[in-house]
Amino acid sequence: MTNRCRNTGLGRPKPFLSRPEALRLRGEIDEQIDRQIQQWYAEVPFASHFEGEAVHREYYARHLAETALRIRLLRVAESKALAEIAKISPEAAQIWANYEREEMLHDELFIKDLEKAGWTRERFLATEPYLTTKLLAGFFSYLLDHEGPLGVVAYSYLVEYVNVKLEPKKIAAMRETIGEREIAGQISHAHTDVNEDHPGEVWDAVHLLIRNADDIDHLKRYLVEHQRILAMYFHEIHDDIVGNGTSQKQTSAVAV
Amino acid sequence: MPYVTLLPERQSFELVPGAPLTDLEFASDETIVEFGCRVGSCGACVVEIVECAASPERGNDDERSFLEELGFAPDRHRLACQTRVQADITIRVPER
Repeated sequence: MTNRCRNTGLGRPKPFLSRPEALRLRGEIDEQIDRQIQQWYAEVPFASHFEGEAVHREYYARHLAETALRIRLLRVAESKALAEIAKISPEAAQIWANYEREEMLHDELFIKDLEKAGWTRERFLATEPYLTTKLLAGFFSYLLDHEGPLGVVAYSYLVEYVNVKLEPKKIAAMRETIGEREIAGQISHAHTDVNEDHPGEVWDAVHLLIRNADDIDHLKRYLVEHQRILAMYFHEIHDDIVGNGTSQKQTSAVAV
Repeated sequence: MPYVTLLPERQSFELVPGAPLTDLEFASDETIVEFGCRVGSCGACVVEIVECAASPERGNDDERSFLEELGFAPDRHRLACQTRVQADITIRVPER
């Protein structure tokens, strides 16, 4: 006989994977992401743009704005994720809470760089997020309602792994093309990811949320699905700013 | 109540004893110190402690090594988000 409480995480079962097993899985996941990165560079427009010798300024500024908007939208869903994680694993919830504590206000770092790029805060606040960013936020809500928090945490593992791996090269190039002072916010953001070992921190939460072999398959699928949505965003911004605005015009035409 | 004086303008802001320097964000409509993560890990809010009426609170080892990594002397600088004000203090935001 047990009490009527459900979703408390009080049972505290042993993790499905031991620490060594989780470490081996992490290696496998990292290899998958490395393959995804190669695919990203091959298929996504402007994928290596910020690592190059010249920067499209309008694209740069709009991307900064969207990054800040994405952080603002996702932190709401990620806060809801904390409650869902706590129902499964209090230990994972503690890790997630600390990760969110360190990341929660990073939108301001990007907005400061955006202001240095010539945007006013009013212009930023008047900017509508791209549809693909709203869809990503919507996907998070879907995951939390219907599949559980693992998918949301998987997104953070993907972006933290990629950031720590690729940001140093990008930052070094942007110091030259844009200027160190102008990208101070992005440098500060990169400090947090590296100093706090965010990939390692998020992986610890992933480890505790994997409860069976199916979850491992789900994790691999989530990484692919998140990359697909992010790629859609990069197509959308490229079409809008660099291309002929086809996707924006089509959206408007349908709306009219 | 302790006052925080900002150089070179010599603007002063009254805080309550023990208040974190992050309170400066709401002390003026203008940005006084640029805060980022507010948990001591991004390094956006470095300030130089120019003068302090009492011995300034020392940062922990993590903060001091991070300041060194950023190129600031940890005996004269703090991360504002990790600093609590106990007495009158004069600060300057370093050029970066």
